[in-house]
Amino acid sequence: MDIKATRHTSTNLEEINERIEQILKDASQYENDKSIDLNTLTLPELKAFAEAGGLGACVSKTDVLAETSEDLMYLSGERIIVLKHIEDDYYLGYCEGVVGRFNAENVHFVELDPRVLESLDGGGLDIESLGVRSSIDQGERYPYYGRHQQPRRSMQSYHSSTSQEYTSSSHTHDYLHGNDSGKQPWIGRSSMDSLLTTSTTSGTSHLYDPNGQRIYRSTHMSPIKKESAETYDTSGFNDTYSNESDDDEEEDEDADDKVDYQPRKPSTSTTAATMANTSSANSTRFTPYDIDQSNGGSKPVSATTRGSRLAKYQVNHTSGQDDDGDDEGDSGISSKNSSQPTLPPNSSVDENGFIVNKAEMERRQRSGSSLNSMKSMKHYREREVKWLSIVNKMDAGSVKKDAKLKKLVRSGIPTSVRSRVWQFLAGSTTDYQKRGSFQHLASQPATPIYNVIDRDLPRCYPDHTLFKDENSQGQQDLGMILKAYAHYNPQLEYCQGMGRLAGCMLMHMPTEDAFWLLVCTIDRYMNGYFTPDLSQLRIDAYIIGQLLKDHEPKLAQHLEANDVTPIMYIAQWFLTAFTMTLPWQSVLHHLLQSCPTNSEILAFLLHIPHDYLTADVLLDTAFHIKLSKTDIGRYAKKATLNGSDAMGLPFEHGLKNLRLGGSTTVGNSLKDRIKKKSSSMNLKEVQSPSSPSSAPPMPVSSV
Amino acid sequence: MNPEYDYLFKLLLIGDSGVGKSCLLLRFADDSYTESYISTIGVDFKIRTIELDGKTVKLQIWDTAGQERFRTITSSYYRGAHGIIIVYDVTDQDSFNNVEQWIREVDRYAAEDIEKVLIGNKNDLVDKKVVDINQAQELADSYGMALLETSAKESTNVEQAFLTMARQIKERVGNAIQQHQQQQQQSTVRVGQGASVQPQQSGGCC
Repeated sequence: MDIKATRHTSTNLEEINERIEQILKDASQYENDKSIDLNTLTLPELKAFAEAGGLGACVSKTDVLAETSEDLMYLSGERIIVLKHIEDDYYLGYCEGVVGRFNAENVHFVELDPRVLESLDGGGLDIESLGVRSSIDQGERYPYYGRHQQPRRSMQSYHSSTSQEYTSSSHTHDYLHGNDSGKQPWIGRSSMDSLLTTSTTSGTSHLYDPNGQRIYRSTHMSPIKKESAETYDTSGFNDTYSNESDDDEEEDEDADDKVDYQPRKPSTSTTAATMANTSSANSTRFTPYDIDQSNGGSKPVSATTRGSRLAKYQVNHTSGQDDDGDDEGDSGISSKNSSQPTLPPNSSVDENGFIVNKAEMERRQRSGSSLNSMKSMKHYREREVKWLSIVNKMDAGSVKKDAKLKKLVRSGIPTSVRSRVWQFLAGSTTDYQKRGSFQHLASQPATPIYNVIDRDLPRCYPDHTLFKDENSQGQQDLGMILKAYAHYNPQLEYCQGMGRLAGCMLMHMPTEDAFWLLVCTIDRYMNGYFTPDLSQLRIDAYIIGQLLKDHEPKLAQHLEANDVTPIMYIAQWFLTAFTMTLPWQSVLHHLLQSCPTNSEILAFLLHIPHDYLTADVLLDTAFHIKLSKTDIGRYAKKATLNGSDAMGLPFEHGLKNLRLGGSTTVGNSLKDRIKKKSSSMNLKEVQSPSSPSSAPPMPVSSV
Repeated sequence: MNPEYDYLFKLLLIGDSGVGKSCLLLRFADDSYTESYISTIGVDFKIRTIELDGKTVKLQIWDTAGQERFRTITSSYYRGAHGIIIVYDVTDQDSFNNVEQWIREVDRYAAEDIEKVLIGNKNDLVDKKVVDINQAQELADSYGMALLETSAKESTNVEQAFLTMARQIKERVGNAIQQHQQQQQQSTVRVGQGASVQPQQSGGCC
């Protein structure tokens, strides 16, 4: 049974509601204004119209994937601004920056302009009675609506049948309380598998408890892994989330028992309700930031990176942490099961498992902003739930083209769902994973390349707790992946740089999943990079050089004057998918001013001070660089013709990577993202349903 | 011309993966050692300024990736280099056997008169040492290179290795630069005389 629930995601809801109210208040003004032809609006005007409230709003009841480019994609609980009635049940709507068509059957109308009301099928619609009911419903299900708005004309859609939600919700609420016993610490299985087990049910069904309290749930439904090969596994997740929620799930040992999971899911939400309830004495303890607080390592990025499976190391290694009173089970077990990496003096482990010295920690603490708020937490949870919903229900192929997905990706994938999302978007599980074949590959006889791999294992992430120690589980797993890959693809075998990729994946998921994701990433997104002649790298060097000349001629000139060629810095950037360095505009700016000779320039490019590289600024900058695929394609072709540089290399690699560059694997880090068009372009792509005609645009101000 | 230094030398560290190129560089440039070095992907850099016979010499040291397939892009690093330091691992016979291959790379991409030094690193691992010093010396002699056995870990001979290199370059390149400068001065004078448009200016030069 598919349980559905609703929620809203709009961030400035109050504001929007206010505007809608305003419009509704003065509805008479617009009553006669049926001449508004949205078709004539330009996209910015449409957007402005929508942001001013449009013709009302509705909340989606289910996840809907766009079937055509005209359709709007939306997730259960998202707020859609109604722009126009098209025909029958179809409306033009606006949702998170995207305009598209939606079906009324999939939404609850919340606020409506009279014009839209008329379009609704009058037959089963009893505005009065629905109006009464809706205020109750909303009070329960949309606490924000209830609080901030006394809906005048709000109504449930005539399709609304929500009793199911309440039943399931309260039912499970009871269930939960009877189930607190049997504490069993988490070991083994990472979140990815756990998420799989819940995949058939809506990730949002328990977002509201029966009292209408907005609550959050942990997305980790990890069952216990039977063999605990990965001693460093998931307990880290728990620490960063509501610790107690684990207990409710742990007794589940059967990873495949989805039915069994359904009633339990809300149990998490109830503990999470405690978390959201500020009056609770425990509330602070459950914020996902408690880890960060304990070591003072909180910084903006942590909002998207917390929840690393390694957080437990952090807990164990940070001094003065005092708030894990309730999860002895977790950390106790994990510390017993895993050999603790040795830490150098005066250092601690950050939220991602990297070992940093005290001074750096303090610096981060100072620069860290006050993300430690309910708002950011809410945002985090919302994204988490959206991702779960997408990953569980949608098809990666079609979802990748979606403008909203891009937006979601760019706002950062929550750590808790990252492994799942990476695999989903890359398609590693669906398109590549073959049962048993990893073990087969990993058990092949050793080849000479094994020596090279073994030499590199300690040198991949020496500053990371997983991979730091000789013969640690992390190094063993990494070796297994790389050696299996050498057998899987004897042409590429092993190339330095792969270890950084695989290691990054291993930080988030079990060995076998990491292996297939590596296979998929190299095949789909980094094709040609690791070949014996590093052909793609040389093509890229040419492309980057040309693009740099086009976009930053001054910088290009400066680099050229100092004999710094792209191949010198992009090797480290691209072959490791930027896991070693990250560039951005201010960095380049800095280069122009204060790097006298080529070695200084290169030293800087290869060790860019991290002050320049907070995730937000970096991505923001990257998305503002407007590159066109045509240019890149053109340069890619040219690179192959340009003899000496690329030496007659096949350019298919370049084009292939280009075509596929569209999701969020590790390989698809900055570079691939830069290749994509900016988000404003996405808007235009989805704009088609409004099919702007040549008629003069209607001034937005008149709305 | 530049007040910071009298000479600027570009050195290149090459050799098989894992022989300790980066560690040698770290020892020389920062006088530190770490067991946890990240594999060099592509190329990396360090700079150190030294005093040599009363002259300030700035050494720009390019540290390269050792894996074979990176050689295909290493050619661009050889450009403008004054000296090449070829490193092998005394505990790894293969890395020594590959030295000749590396020399061929140098011959292929570097300037003809480039200075070379051979370094056998990890000499602190006495028990594991497999490359005999005589054998190495023989090879070094046959290519006219100096040989030094070093330990980046224990900071043995590292300084000497780089200083040897720098001195060799200074002797050769320094002379060449002087000659070059003399030639330039002569030619400047000639041009000045030949042009004889502004004789007072050429006089000012002298």
